Amino acid sequence: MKSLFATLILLIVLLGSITVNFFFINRVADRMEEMIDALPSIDSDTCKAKTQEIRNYWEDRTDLIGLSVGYNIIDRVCEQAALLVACAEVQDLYGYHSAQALLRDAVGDVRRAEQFSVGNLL
Amino acid sequence: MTTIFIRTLFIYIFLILTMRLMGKRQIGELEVTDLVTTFLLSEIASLPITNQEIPVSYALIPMITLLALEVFSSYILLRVPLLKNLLSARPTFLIHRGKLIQKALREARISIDELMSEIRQQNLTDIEQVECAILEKNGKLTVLPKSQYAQPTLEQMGLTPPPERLMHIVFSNGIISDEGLAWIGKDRTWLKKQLKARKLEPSTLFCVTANEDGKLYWIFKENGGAT
Repeated sequence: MKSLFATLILLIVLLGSITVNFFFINRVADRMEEMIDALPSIDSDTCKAKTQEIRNYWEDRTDLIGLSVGYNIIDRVCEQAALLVACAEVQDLYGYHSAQALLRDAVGDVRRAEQFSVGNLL
Repeated sequence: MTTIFIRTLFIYIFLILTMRLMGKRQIGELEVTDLVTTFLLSEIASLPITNQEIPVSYALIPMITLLALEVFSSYILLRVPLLKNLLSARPTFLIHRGKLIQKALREARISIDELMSEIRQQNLTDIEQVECAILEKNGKLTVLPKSQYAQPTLEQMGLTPPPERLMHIVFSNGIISDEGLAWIGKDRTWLKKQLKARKLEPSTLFCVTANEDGKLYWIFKENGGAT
């Protein structure tokens, strides 16, 4: 009976963590996508600050996201966020748009890791 | 996390069905659910140890899920016999009163050679000498000889052997075992009195065992207690 209750508590904690993590990952992905979509054009004065804001927002959460998302996906987002900042700094228009698209795609991968879909499960 | 949790459920159910369809021969000593859990646990646990790209949660989530499935399934199976029959194999008669049941043999995919080998290992030479041969749910074959071919028991020979009493360790490595003493219905005070009565120093003893009648056996240290 003791092991049954201990297991039940473990399962409840696990399901609770899964639920919290599901909302956390989706919220982070939503916010990242919002920020990427709201990026100004490269010649804007706020461009550099906004790209840095995206990078900081992501890097502040990587430890928590790393608990459930594979490090290869996290690294991909980190790389693209860093590239976005660099492109904004050197005013590289091609690189800026490319990094923006790839960052959006990488954020999609983060969301997909927690997405409840048949394709994802099989 | 969600994906890993649901994937674990899916793989667990799929493996149980596969093992169940494979039959008893693949099972060995374990129940189907135990075997599946053991398979999966050994693989899953090693994942984050060997691959640093994987978060530890990738192993922890399946492990907790499997633990829950294993504990809950055994709890439910104990209370729902119908479900138990579906998930666990049932014992099957292969020989009954010296008669071979060919259909059961075919279904269990056991050849007559294998069956004869098991019978010979029981010191029997012929199927007719066997009262019954049962393929147990863990895949093992139990062969019971007909009474005229069975070894006589002490009771059948009219002998009454003395009752066997288990030995319990009550003292070892300088530590008194309360658990061992409880098994023989004694306590520390009793053991200390016994040591005092025999003028024995605990430091000279390697271990002390006692049977359920309270009879003590002493094993002294080889070097006389010097460390």
